[in-house]
Amino acid sequence: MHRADLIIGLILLVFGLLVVSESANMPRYANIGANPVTVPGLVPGILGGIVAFLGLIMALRAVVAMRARASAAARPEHTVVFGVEAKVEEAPSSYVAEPPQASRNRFVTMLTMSLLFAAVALGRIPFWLAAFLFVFVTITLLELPRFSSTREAAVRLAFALAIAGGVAWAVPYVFETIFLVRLP
Amino acid sequence: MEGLGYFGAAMVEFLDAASLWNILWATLLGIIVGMLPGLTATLGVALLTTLTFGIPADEAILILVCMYVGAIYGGSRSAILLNIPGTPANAATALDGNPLARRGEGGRAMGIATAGSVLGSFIGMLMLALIAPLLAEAALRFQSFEFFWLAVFGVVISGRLTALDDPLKGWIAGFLGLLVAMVGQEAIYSYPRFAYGDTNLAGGFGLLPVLVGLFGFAEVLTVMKQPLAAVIKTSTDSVIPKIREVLQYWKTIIRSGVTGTLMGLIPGVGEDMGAWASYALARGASKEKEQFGKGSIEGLMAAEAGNNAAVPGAMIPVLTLAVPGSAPAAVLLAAMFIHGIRPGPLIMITNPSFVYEVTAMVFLASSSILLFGLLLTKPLMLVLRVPPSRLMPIILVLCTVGSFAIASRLFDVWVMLGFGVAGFVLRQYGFPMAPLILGVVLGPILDSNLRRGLVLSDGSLLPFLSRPISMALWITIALTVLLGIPTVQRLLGEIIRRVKGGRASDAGS
Repeated sequence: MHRADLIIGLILLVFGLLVVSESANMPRYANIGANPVTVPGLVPGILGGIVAFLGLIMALRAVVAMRARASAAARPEHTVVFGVEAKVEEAPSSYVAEPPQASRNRFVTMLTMSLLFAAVALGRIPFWLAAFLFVFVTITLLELPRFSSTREAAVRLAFALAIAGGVAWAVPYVFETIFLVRLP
Repeated sequence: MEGLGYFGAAMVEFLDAASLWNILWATLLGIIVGMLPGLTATLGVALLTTLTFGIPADEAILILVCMYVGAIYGGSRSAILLNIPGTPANAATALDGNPLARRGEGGRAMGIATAGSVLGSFIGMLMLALIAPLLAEAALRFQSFEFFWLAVFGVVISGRLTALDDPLKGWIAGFLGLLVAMVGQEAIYSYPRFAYGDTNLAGGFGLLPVLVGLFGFAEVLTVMKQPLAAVIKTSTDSVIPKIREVLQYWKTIIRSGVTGTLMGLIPGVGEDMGAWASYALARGASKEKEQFGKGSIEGLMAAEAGNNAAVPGAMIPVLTLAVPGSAPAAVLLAAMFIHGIRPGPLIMITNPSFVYEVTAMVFLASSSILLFGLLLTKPLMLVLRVPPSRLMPIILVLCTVGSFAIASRLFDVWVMLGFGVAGFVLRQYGFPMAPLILGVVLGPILDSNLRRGLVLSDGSLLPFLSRPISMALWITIALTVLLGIPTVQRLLGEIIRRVKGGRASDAGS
């Protein structure tokens, strides 16, 4: 927790200083007699400085906290908002039991597929095809861990196909035909 | 009194078949969006903004307002039944709503939530109609100096209140947002800042792709990272609230409505704070304090009234100052600009009926949630059964289309993806999103007004500090920052304790 804060604080410090230096390089327009307080680099420079300062404070705070190590009184697990504990009682039945890497796999799958879809497929293949492939493959990949039998796999694949087909048909129809909005 | 006339005219305008149809489907869609974890009110309004791009302004804003009101209400359903708030605004609802549902009183909880939401909305609506014209009048006296301080105030107060246990992160988020707004051609010399020769960057980051990224894609990623929720059992008791129960807490309802509206009014502080502040106040004033957190009807009603009252509350600064009161309100602001409406202090002069039209829209949307909330419980329950693995890919496709549609460039899609990933990372490390988006919206205002003000004052900082409204603003900002520093808080606590201790011993002797 504190190490993350330290790293983020340092990143912000460096980033803020970079912004300040970039802003200092922006033109001053002195040759056209511009008022020096109106230069383009004024506000980004100030903002960059503030971000660097806040990042430094965050990093220092993290260092102090790590040294003190009196972490008993550290961040509560739940937020306290206006004096009310915002902890929501989690009943054991609220969540499905699953291995810990399941959520990480889901996350990676979603991220990768989204990037492939939006950054690679769009614009190169027709939208309906891209959307169909994306939805079908992503749903299948996400539901892969739940394929307990061939029959269930078949059912889930059929659902995925249906949903993908539905999206590929409905989105262009609603956006382009009803609302006249262009699609990639 | 002419306000009443405008309101009446707007109501008549919206009561024709086409508008009624729009109100119904937009509100219903809003409720569904609100119910589904992973879909936020902000995303819903953003996607509908792109959909309604080509529709006349009045109809478009009507649809967006209905989606907004519906979404904030809809989240109460999943909060009560699933213990998972459908939108962050409903987190306080889960505290008392879910225990009630587990006792088999889910229907009663939903009925109370519906009643609270509708009544809170009505109170907010009244305050909107009363305060907006007054605020616009006051804002007419704002010059560059005041607008600069207003922009700073928005970022500072939003950072402070949305990250109560760590304002530093809130402020960092806010200033990062301001920096994001600095990319692109600036207002005075058209110099392309941080563009590095790329024409796309020279145009800056579009507000809608950034919003869809931060509140859409980031949300999708967050949901995917979370454990899967189990399917719920539907409740069988009646959803119609007992009138006596509702009227019993009339003081709480009014208090929550006013608190919620005021919370919404504060820039960047939105429905979730409206709910929490109302909840905390209700608990403080309640005769049944112990019930809170265990299934208190009063607490549930306060939370839902508070968050729905924040919706019209958030629209007050949008209409009168062109400053968003919350993240979905930021989308509404962008939508208004897209449709050629110019919100700001001049609104009462250039377009006086608009404020009352918005009031009428809120009224109609609230009436619809009453209708749907009471009648459509069972069908709406089915919505909650859709597994995220099937829903999230669909949402992503919509996010992509939504970011592309406004300017028809793929660059916007990449912006959406980039901000989505950045937003996800920031959230994992405890940075709130609302100040960030507020910074993005307020950045241009801050920049141009600072420089313009400095030109007007010939480089002097005096008018920034000495003009009455400016003084009020910067003193408030300074106090907010000071009181947000833990060391200062502790010192203050010490002083107060010593004073109280001194007084007690004086009284004793």
